[in-house]
Amino acid sequence: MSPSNIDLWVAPGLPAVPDTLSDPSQIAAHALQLRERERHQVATNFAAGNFELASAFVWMRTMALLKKQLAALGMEFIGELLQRPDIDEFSDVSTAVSDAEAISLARDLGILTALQTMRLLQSQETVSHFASAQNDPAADENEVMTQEEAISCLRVCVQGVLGHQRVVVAEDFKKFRAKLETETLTANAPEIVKLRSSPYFFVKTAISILLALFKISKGAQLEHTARNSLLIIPQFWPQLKAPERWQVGQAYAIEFSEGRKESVRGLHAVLLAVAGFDYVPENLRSTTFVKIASEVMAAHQGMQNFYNEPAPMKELASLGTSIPGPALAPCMTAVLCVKLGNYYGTAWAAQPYANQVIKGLSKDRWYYYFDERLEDDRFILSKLQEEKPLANWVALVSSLQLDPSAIKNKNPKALLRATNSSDRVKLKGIVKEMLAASVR
Amino acid sequence: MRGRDTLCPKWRTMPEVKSITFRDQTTGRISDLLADEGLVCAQSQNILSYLAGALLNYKEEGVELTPSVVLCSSIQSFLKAFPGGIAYNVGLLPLEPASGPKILKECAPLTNRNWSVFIERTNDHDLTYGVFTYFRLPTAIPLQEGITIDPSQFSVLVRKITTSTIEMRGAKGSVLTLIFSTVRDSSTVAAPIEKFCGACCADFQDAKLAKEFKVYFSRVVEEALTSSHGTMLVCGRNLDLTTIPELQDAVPVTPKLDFATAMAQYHESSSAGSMLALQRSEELLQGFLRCDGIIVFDTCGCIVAYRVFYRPGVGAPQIPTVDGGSRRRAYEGIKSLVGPHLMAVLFHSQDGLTLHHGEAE
Repeated sequence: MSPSNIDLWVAPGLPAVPDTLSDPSQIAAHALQLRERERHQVATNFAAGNFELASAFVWMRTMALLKKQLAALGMEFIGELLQRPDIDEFSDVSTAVSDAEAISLARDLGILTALQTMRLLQSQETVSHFASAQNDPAADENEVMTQEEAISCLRVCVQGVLGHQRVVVAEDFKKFRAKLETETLTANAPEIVKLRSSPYFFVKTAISILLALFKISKGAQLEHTARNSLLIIPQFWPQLKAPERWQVGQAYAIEFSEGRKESVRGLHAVLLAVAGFDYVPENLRSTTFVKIASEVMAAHQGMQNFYNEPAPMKELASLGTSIPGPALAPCMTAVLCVKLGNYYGTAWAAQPYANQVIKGLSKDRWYYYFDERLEDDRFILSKLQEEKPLANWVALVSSLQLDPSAIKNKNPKALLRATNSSDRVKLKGIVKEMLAASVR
Repeated sequence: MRGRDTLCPKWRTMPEVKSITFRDQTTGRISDLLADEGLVCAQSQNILSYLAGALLNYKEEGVELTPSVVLCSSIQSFLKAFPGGIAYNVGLLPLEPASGPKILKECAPLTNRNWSVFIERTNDHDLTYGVFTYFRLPTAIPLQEGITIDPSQFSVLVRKITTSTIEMRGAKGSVLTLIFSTVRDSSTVAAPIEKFCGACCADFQDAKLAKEFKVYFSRVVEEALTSSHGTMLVCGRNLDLTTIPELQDAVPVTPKLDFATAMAQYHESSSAGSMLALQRSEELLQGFLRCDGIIVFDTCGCIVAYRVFYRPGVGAPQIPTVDGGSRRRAYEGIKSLVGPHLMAVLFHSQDGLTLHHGEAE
């Protein structure tokens, strides 16, 4: 699919906090979602040089608001969008969804712009590192958050979330979702025409919406969903990457195992139309893998990550090396997060378990990752912009002796070439382009 | 011209020997079913006729077997609709009814709750047969419902649903119920069971879980009743059998057999342990059904007693005259307890009659 500038839904307009504004008190004044007292405290803490304290507070409030807005869409729906079968209507959004997942999802739903997404992903690593250091007696006393890091964090939090009167998903997105369950669209409906020229992540999100609707709708809504799925999914199937194809197959297997006959019929018709039964997993083992991989990700992105990563990573390694197809992409992302670490290093105690999983991954599975996942793996791509994770990437991937000619897609192929030749400048350039494309 | 009877008076008095076979009636209906399902094939029709008769009381080594048999045009295409489906070929035979006994002989002993027999109509002259299964979690779609997922794929499922009833169900939704009985015209099993199971989860706090439990439990009870010799189930809220004079003769199940908790745990974790807990409960229910007497459920999805015998109390209302044995008379008597003590009662006779009586009726 060729990327274009036509977006099916767009993020709301930017609040009046220009990138050039760097006075913390002026930025804080735009944080409409904070109470007056809180805005004042943020400004005071900045003035007193308590950057970590102020940033941690701002970050916490930003993520809480963002997740609350996401939860308003329904947790089952969120679970489907994140491809996390372990999330259901009873899940608590604050614990079940990691900060990075919330940011990425907010981009998909048109809450954040592409630039805000990239900046928030960067700020998240900074904030969680210093929050961990505050609780670590062995941490270096001289290692403190700089004013620039704190201001950058405050500004993007205000621009993306706190500065809005209400945090809302894009209106077009809401309309599109409503149409999918209340109308049977035709092949030349404006939404379908627009979707054809939208970047890949819109297609991915549209399919996630349909699959989520299969789970929650019934009666006439389910009929509309089934007909729209039969119109949309076969049309985009040739462009769909393996994780999204597995998502459709996985949805069928889950609906079947939960006895929802009507949904199963609808999904069966879709799979029949695309000859996609190879993507229906034989069992639901992948659910366990995805759940543990999510725990690894949550530990990695949360506070005290160096202490919290080893336990879930050990559990993931103990599940064995025969990772089922639907779980391969999230498991590889989780393992790579542990192996690459962050700006400040890696969790040493988690490395043996990550190595155990890496050892069990055949070359074919790496090629799968490069071709089918990497271009949309915002977590890993944002890591590769930092020096230490990039160095770890080069050390890890070049040791695998992968052949770039086995990779079909242009950018991942170029990235592997640059990795094998340890050309970090080139590598960074390719990563930047890929990350921008993944949120564009 | 003079008639034969006038020639020989002996002929006039000779009794005429007549016999009626169920085959006469079944073949026509099976032919209609096949036509509705898009297949015109005399040999397939004959095989199905054979299966209908054979499955009614099929025994191997003195043990009764109740295999489900699927006749299809391609087992691999058929299994696409069933995640984790796998088939094992056993043999190849001519497409004719004479192949039926061999198929059942070789495959029926391999079947159970998870494994079924398939007969693949390879072409107009041959068939391949064997056994198949699929990934069947406790809440998964059962075979009899799953067969209609893909109407474009010819398939007919034959299974015994009561001691005297064979059901044939096609992919396009055609259903033929063959009742080998002279007593009744029809037999409806699913609706009464569903109503009864609704009462068994009437006091669930979580509406979604109650809905799922009802579907799951209906399937479990239906399956259990298929192989039962006839039974009666009752359900009541906060039951204390010691306070009901008519139901004093009972064996309490202590602690209660808690299907609801097992189901909730399975729903929450889907772990192997929670699945085993559910299966264990199902097995014990099967055991209770093998015993004489009534099984008592509460409204929170638990079994609280079994081997319960109804003893009409002094001054009990007169039981209306009904056809049937002691169980049927007990059912008529126990209906008077619905309201004051019970919420619902389900009766299932040996020949397949299934009746429900609930508070609302």
